[in-house]
Amino acid sequence: MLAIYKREMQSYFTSPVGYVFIAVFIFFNAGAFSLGTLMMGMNSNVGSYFNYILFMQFILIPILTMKMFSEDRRSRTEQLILTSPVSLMGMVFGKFLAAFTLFGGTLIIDNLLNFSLLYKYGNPNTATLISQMVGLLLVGAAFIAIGLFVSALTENQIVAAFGTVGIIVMSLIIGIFNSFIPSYAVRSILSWISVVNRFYNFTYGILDLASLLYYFSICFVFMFLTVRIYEKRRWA
Amino acid sequence: MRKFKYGTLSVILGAVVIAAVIVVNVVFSTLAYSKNWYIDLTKEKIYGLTDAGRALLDTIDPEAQISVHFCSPFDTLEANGAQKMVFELVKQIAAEYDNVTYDYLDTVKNPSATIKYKTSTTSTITPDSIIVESDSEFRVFKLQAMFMIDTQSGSAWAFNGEKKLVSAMVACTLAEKPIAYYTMTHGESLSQSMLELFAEAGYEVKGIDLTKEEIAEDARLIIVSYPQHDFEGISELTAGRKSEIEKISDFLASWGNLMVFMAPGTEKLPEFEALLAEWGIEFEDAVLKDPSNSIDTNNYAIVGQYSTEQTLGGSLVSSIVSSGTPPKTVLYYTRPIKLLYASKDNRQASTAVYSSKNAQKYVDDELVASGQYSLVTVSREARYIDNIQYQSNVFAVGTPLFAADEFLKSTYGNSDILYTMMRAMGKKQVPIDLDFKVFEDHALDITTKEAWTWSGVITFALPVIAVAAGVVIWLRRKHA
Repeated sequence: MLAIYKREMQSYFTSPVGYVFIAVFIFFNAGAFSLGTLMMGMNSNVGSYFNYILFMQFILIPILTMKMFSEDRRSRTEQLILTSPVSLMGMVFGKFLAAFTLFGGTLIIDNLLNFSLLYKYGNPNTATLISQMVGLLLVGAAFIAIGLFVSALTENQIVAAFGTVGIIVMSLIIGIFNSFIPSYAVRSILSWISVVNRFYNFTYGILDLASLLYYFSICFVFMFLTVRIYEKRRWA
Repeated sequence: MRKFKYGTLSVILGAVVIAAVIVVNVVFSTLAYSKNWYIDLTKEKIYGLTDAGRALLDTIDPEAQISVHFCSPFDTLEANGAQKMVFELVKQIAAEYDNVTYDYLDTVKNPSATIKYKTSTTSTITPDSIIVESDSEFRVFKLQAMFMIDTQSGSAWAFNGEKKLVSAMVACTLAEKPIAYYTMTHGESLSQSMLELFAEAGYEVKGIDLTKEEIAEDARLIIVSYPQHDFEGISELTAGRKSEIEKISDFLASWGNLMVFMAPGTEKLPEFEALLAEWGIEFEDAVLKDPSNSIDTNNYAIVGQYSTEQTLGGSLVSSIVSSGTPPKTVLYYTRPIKLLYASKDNRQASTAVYSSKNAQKYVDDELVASGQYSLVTVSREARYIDNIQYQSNVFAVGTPLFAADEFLKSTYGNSDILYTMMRAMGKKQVPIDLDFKVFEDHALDITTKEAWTWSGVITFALPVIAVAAGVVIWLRRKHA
């Protein structure tokens, strides 16, 4: 698994993908931060920044994940993976971890600078900053797992990207229409599934254990499904 | 083995695993929801119950059942940030105290569920109402009451829910009912309907002879209805004990309340009227008629006009005024009230019900003037002590027949006004030493130039550096 992880990390930084991702990520991240806080001055609201980033993940994550398995299938190097002694779970987890490292590392390092500006010019609540960062990392991890799965389904990177965008957008907006649904049972189910609703507690400085389990479960389920796909290919 | 890898069994295995994950999540979520399994990282513990709050709740009799009723479904509460704060706090209290429960009152499907919490026939319980109930006592809050609101910007800057909720729970579980005393020995009379209304408002009503008895500490209200003889005044010799007026005055100074119903034709009551004058109230020696606005042929049964002013009197009748078809309030054989001041020191006096502009004032059966007159007034002295508002109210009506059976037991607004005043006067202020929780201060002390400079750096400079690094490395690999 470690070999896969190192290989993936190397591929991010020896090709334009990693740098483009970092540049685009920082651009959107910093732009949202500027609009939500620096430019607002006395009316600054760091919560709006985190909301922007939460919704921007439907653009950022697919950039990262679209080539993860699609490229291997397209270049026919998939057979090497399938016949290697590496366990499929190890392979999938290694790729996942590499993508998450790039995403999480960029998010944390960029925000260290951004948040230092908050402390320089204001008096932010450290607890809510930490909890929202944890929430974003968890949401990012879940979306990366989804992107991984979609990438494994197709050899076309564009299809993988759009498929991931579609699923992420659905999971982000699923709770928005709750106020129009009269049935309490349906609303409860949609709220339970909704990634955004699960994120709410993090905005108040709360680490909701049920939400932590939820995000970890999404990661597990989609990585499991990715492994199932490759199991089928290996043994078919 | 291969079947587990890609065959039908593989699909079944996959489905079982996913189902197991869903079941684990559902079970854990349910437990986490009911047991409040979360970690509050904030110093303020905005969602949480403080140790000070627990100490106060520990003083409540564990046998006393407390119910908190929300008027929005739980998922709606969870989706609204402000309501969620209150909801999470109540959940935590309910998780820690077995005698506290919470539920949802569906005001749409079951409108009768909230009738008993209305303070008048026209007041409404709204979806953001929160009701704390114990036995026959209850407190109704609007969501906004749970927050400290900046009067200029209108935005909430602190959460005061713990203080409000704990105070309400403590107040509702106090063993005794509020006591209202009606004075005797001056020819007073009270209607049976009025006594029933007091009982409905949660009071215990007792008679008191102020010449012989002291006003008990748990008294909330003194009723003086149709006195025909004056009270012992401060000027009188009362053999070393306090006079009646002194007792009433001391009672009001200790945040007690007074309801006064005076009839036309009553002899002068100099001592009592001097007390009322301190509260800005003077009952004029006259009787009113209103030919254009009465419901009887003698024109004595005047239909009052509700005040729409932004005053205490206006707020007393605001829920009646805001209803689509406000009920009529009738004052029969009433004397006009003159307000001696609108505001003086910490006291304010205002009118709740006026006559029409065509009312006629008669003195000794002679028409002396016409115009608009105050018929029902309320005076209040209010003070904030340790962030709690204490108040003393004097409610005055120009006729004891305002509370007559035929007016209270019918669809007139008389009972609404009285009931609203009784409920407001009956609430014991429970001093609760809990701090509100200030929200984080997001404000940045940054100039526009600094904001633009830093925005440029973080938004453009860093990405350009990242792209440049990528280009350099790519070129080096290409030519390697």
